[in-house]
Amino acid sequence: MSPQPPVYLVDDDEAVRDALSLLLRTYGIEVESFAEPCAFLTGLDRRKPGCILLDLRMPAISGLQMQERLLARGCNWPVILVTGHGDVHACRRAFKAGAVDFLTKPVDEQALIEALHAAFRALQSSRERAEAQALLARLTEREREVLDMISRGWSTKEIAGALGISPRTVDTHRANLAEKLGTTSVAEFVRLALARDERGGTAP
Amino acid sequence: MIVPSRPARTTLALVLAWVVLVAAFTALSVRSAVDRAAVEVDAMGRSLHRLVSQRAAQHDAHLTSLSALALATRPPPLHEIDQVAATILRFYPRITAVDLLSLPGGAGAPDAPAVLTSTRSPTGNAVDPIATATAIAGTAPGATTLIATDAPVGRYRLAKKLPDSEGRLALVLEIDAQQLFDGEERPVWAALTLSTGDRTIVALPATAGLGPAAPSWLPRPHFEKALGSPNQPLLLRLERPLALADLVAPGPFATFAFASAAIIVLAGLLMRQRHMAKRARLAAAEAQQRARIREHEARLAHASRVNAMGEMASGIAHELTQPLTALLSQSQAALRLAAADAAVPSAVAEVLAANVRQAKRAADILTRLRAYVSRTPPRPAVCDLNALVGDVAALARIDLERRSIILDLPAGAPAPLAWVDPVQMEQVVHNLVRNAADAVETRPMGDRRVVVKTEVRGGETRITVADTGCGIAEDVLPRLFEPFFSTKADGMGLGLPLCQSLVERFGGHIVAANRPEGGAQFTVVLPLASGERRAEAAE
Ligand SMILES: Nc1ncnc2c1ncn2[C@@H]1O[C@H](COP(=O)(O)OP(=O)(O)OP(=O)(O)O)[C@@H](O)[C@H]1O
Ligand SMILES: [Mg+2]
Repeated sequence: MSPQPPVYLVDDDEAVRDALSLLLRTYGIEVESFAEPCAFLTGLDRRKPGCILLDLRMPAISGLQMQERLLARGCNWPVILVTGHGDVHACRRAFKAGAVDFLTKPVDEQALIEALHAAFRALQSSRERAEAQALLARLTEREREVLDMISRGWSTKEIAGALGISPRTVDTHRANLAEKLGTTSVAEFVRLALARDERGGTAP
Repeated sequence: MIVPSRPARTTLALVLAWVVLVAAFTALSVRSAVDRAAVEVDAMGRSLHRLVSQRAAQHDAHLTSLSALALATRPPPLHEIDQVAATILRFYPRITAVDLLSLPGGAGAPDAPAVLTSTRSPTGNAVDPIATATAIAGTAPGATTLIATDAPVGRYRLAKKLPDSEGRLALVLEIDAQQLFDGEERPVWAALTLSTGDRTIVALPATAGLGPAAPSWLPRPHFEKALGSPNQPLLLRLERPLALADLVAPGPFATFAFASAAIIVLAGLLMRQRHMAKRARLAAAEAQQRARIREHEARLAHASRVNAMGEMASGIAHELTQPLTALLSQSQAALRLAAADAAVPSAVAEVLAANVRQAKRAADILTRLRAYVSRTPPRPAVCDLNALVGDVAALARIDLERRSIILDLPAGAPAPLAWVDPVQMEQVVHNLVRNAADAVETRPMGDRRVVVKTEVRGGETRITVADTGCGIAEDVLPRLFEPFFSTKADGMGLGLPLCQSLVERFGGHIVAANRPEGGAQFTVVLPLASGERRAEAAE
């Protein structure tokens, strides 16, 4: 696994920011905290992809509004909303807008860490999907067809028969695929082929 | 001036109406009575005139034949004249005397006029030859003159200067004018006069007692015409004096007066009853309206109390949650640090663990508190925000008027429908209006204005509450929605946070801003009620 992504903590209360940062750092998680959403949003393009820990109710823009702005800017980094109120409506809206989790204050250590790990996993998989898609983008139409058939478990002969080409040509395509995708493993081929059908990306 | 009460005015109007009705009836019956009388008089007058004219014409004929006789010989045959005259007197009793006069001035005539011969009926009078001669002095021979001045009462004389060349003779008839009418059926009402010039010769009053006479200003039906004989310029006048009883028949008059009075009284009663019924209806409607407003007020006040308490509790909870979050997280962090460092005594770890437990316990208490106050779930429905704003305005108006604040509701968007709990939404508008009213109160009288309007824009409905107050200070703006934040001496600082949390329950939000022309403006933005919601509400 690549090094753990950072957590961006947005909360208007300084004591809360300090305490949560301290706690997360004891888990070896990198934390960057912001007193207000705007400060975070302005530098968004320069930041490493990470997980956003967002207080629901803040002056100026609320957590929900900020979540909407992130989406508007094409940023789908996972968001965990934290609230002082057990507000069901806000919670429902947050999930609709794609929040990963919804925690109430005071935040329990266990719940927080679990939510963060889930968020990291989501971030990781979306990043992988993006990579796979970048790789697949380099394939020719014919190579994509061959990859498709391989991932369905077809043999070289069967592929040659289906496409009406010689088995040698199929082998050449396989070699090209191995080179372009950086792997010879059929399992990897399958994973990448599946990624093609999904949407995703990590770019803000 | 004393303005009579409404029932008194009505009574007065009814009595007046009755008087007018009776007067109209009277006028109508007088008019028809006068018309009838006029027709009657006219018919009677014509037949009388024809008769009297014929009779008068006979006098001319007698004079002509007597004059022919008188001129037959010279001197005139007095004896024959007497005989003829006696016959005339016998057959025409209204002619009471026939005289032949000699006039002075003729050749061989005496110097003074004298009576040559005279034939008289028992009522006939002697003629004064001098006066007669004077009366006809200037007339041409053959002319006939009517002499009334010299005649006894009720009579006139006809003097004819005989057409001999010298003009020395004159024939004079004395006529009892009253007998001109004799033998004629005269109605009892008829008043007759016969006059020449301005001298009345006969006046026969109506024979029957008429009872009280009609007022003198009424037109008197009469007939007036000169007799046919040119030698006798006599004017016949027939008049019908009107009695009150002729004008207005007492029976029908009384019947009409009574019947109309009865109808008017009935109408009055009916009107009065209708009036009372209307008053009762109005009073009932007013009472109902008052009750509705009171009930509405009570509901809003109750919701305000409940929600303010909830907001207070949740404000406190929020305030406490923050330090509690810090406390818990810090303790948990410290616990982890202590576990990683063997040098930290285990007692410290135990203390830290106890802190964590206490912080969680406090958090539980807060959760229970929140759960307790948020037990009244909203009851949303499709609401027309225009109606809602109107209701709030109706409630707030009295208070605002007392504070000389003008509340303006410009015609808003047509049917801005939102899916909200009406009572809670009213509370939101009410709070915003109250804040606006507080803000404008420091302004001079004419400038205290609060404008509430609605709008539909891009799938959203908006309620805007704008005021002409002093606006929101730069340092207050970011803290507006913070619980317990207030710049007012008696402010709780819960109004706006409450509004915000209520509006958020329905998926909306509130935007606060200063208006460029001065004053603040709060905009409640709510999603427009969706089609299916509306359909649901319509069912
Ligand atoms: N229309 C306005 N114009 C200017 N300032 C306003 C306006 N509305 C609110 N404010 C400011 O916001 C503050 C908070 O308002 P809020 O309604 O929350 O509390 P409050 O009115 O002070 O007290 P209460 O709990 O009785 O409503 C006010 O004290 C005032 O300073
Ligand atoms: Mg207020």
